[in-house]
Amino acid sequence: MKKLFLVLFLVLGISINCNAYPDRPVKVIVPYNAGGSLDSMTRIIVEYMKQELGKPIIISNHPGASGTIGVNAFLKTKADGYTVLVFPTSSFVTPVFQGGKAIDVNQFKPIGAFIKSERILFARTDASYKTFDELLAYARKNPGKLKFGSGGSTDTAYVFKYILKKENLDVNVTLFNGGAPAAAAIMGGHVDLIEGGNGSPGDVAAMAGKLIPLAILSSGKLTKYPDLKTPYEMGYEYASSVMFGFFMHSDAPDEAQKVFSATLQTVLQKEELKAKFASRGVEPKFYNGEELAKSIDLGMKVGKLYEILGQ
Amino acid sequence: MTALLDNAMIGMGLLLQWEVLFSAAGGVFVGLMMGAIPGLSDIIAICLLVPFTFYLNPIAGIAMLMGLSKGANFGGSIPAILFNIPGTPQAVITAFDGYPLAKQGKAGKALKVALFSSCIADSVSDCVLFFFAAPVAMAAIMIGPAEHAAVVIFALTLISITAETGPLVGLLSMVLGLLLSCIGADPLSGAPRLTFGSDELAGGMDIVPLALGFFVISEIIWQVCLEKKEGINLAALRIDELEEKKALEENYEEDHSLSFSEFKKCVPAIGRGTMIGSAIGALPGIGTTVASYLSYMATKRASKNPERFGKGAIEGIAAAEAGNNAVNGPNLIPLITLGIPGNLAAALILGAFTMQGLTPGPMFMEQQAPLLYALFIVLFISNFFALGFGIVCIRYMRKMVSLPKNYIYAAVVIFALIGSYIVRNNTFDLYYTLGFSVIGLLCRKGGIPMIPLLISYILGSSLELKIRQTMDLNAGDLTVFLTEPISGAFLAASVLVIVYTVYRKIRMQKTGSV
Amino acid sequence: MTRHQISGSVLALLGLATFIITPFQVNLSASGIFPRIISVCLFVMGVAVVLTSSKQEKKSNVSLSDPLLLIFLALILGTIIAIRTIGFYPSILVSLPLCLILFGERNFKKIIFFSLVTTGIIYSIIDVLLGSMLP
Repeated sequence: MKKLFLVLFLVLGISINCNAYPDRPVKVIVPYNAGGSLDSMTRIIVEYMKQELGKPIIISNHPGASGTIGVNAFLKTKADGYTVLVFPTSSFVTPVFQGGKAIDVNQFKPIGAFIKSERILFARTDASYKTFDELLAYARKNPGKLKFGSGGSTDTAYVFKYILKKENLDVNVTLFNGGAPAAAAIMGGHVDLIEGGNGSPGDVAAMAGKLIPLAILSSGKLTKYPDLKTPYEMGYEYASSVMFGFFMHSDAPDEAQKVFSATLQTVLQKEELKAKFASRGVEPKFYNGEELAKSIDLGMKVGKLYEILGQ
Repeated sequence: MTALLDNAMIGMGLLLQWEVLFSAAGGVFVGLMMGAIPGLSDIIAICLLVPFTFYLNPIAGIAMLMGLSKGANFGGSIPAILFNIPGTPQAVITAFDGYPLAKQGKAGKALKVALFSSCIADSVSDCVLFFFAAPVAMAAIMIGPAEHAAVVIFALTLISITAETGPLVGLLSMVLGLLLSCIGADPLSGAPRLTFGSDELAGGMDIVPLALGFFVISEIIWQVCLEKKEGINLAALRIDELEEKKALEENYEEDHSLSFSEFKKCVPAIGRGTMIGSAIGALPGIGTTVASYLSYMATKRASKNPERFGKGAIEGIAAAEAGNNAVNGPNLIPLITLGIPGNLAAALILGAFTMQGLTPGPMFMEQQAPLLYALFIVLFISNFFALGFGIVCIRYMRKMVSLPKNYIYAAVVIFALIGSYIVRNNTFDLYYTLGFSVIGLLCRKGGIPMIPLLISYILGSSLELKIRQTMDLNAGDLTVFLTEPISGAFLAASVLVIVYTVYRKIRMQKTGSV
Repeated sequence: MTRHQISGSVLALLGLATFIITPFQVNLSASGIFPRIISVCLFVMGVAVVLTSSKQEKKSNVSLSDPLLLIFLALILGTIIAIRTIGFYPSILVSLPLCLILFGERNFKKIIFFSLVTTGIIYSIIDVLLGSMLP
């Protein structure tokens, strides 16, 4: 009898101690300003995850230094699964383009992603080239005349620079720090080409017929532009990959990772959530940890372009 | 024009909902309070409340944030007038003539001038927004990197040359501000620069801790030490005892109210401020402080007795407040039409738009016209909220001059530290506050004007960014700045300003006046 | 030496120092161009101000070595360090009274009352709005 009680007690004790994750609020660190595209999408997702998990999820913005300030703030927290980082996969390699070293991926455990942002090359409607091949031909005949600006994705800019090098073309390249300045610049005639993400101001303009999409510069296809080819399809070995995903510390408890990942997957299937994203022109989809990790690898590969192409 | 009216009608329908009006009014009220507490500013208020707009409908959310801006623009002038501590950076200029008036016991008058100028200028500029948003949108797109850089150079030149310590020292201050803006990250690539190995510094210095340290804390320290030197015991001090006054009670009503004839004197200043503010608001990336300053300078130049300015000229207050409030409305123009924010508040409001799934940019006005016109109308109505709240506030605020200074100072210091932290959730920013307090003290001691430094700091990174983008796009060819028409025009104007100022100085020396 | 001349020379030196240090403080050489140009401008402007500064001068009454000033700066520094180690609320509770004493208040009851009330107000507002500050 005593033994029975002992066993019961132990079992109860263990189950009380091993409270299901989460048993207290979870914090999500966003390394960008409140209201940015990553931040607003995260907020939508967190709204629904809160309901599923039954515990509050607090978003904390730590902007600065291309995301590294937020990443450092995250790394200083405890690896107990109660602090999560949301980060674009392309940003792991960004420090390389700034003359430094990439963020060490081994410190993180990819949990799951919710958006894959494809980067599209746009041109103006009054241009004489209407397809990618026509663009290449035009650039060959008019060296130094065309102007390209990136819409916030430095690695996509490098993919484009690589294509220019491979095709031996002379095009002026610069970086804009977001989709909005890039779209404004191309509509105002200050640049001829921009790259922009799915759903960015440039894409909105293209869907309204004010810009022409020429090609995709990232690794995935888009259903709304079925004729656009990815760099792989066009014969180039590099393509950018931008996924927005959640990360925990690499030594965070497995249970936390599994629960978070499963909740994310559930939430991303809700029609309401999909509708909210659709109004922004993007389709959320669940990508698991491995796919997220692969996206980072693609980005790291693009990072090697820095050594090849220089600044 | 008919399209405008159609959209306006639809807009009216959208806006007449409790949620919208309540949010707008709430925003104005909170903004007024936050602006009135030095150490907390409109930026902090907007930062804190942007996440909440997620739960509101788009018009309500944006109206609330714009209300914060409006309220804070006036609110910031309250402590600026009463204590010479600006509640928001743009209120700095209001203090020039506001504080002397408060010292003369005429705080109520100063506050009323500030309130009426703010509301009138804001209303007029909101009308400008309403009628001119669409046409200006088409023109705004012509501003590319080169033109933007030229505009910034023009603004910086104007501000440095008109500094009260003389153009050379003004330029010195401006260049120092530009140098300080280089610390942190290279604006084009984001690469860390001049960080001396510190990860923290690579994040750059946010404007809020900077402005708080530079204007608020250094001002407090300066005043405390100044008064100690003059042998005044702060604990017993009331602000209106600083200057000798006879028969305070007799003149009380007159001192604290604004007569119609005084108001009439301010009208030209308000008009000038509104025009300057609206023009600057429509240009991306310049900001309220610049507008306030230029408006003040313009009115001072146009005045028959410029020496009254700085000693309590109500036209000075009117000009400064009109200038900074007139920027708010037109500031939405580059934000909505290009997706490029005109000042910090607009940058945060951009976030609120994207949070709602709206993407400001070249297509925005076409696709969302009814919503935008509804917003513009709400903005216009918010000015009346501001007027109402303001009048009530003034009645209580002017009693604050009777509060003991030391409590106010101590509380402000704490609020400044809190405010510096809250913007980026980063305690390291507090060091910037401290650092800039020291720099502020050095500037006051060394006779370096503080406003050119602040403004060039704000504009420095965008100036560098635009110049480098232009050079990237034109294969390093600098002549582009001169050959592009708009860019060339602004650069030529800058040169003209310098030439004109030099010419005037030489002429003044020749005629013997100093 | 007028105060403008002092400022001018200090800043000219700053410009020179920045010009020299910059190449060591950048990761990409393109980052360094603008700072170097600006530091040259600073040097030039500093020298110009030194050379053209006129004799007439307002003297300010505040001395930078005033002990009150230095103590106050030290207090802020101490508060910041405290905030970073033990958190906002304890630090505020300690530094508010110290500030008040520094500014001349001598009535201890008033000091303690004010500090507690203010800290309470801050706590309630911040907690009502959003996530608390440093615990």
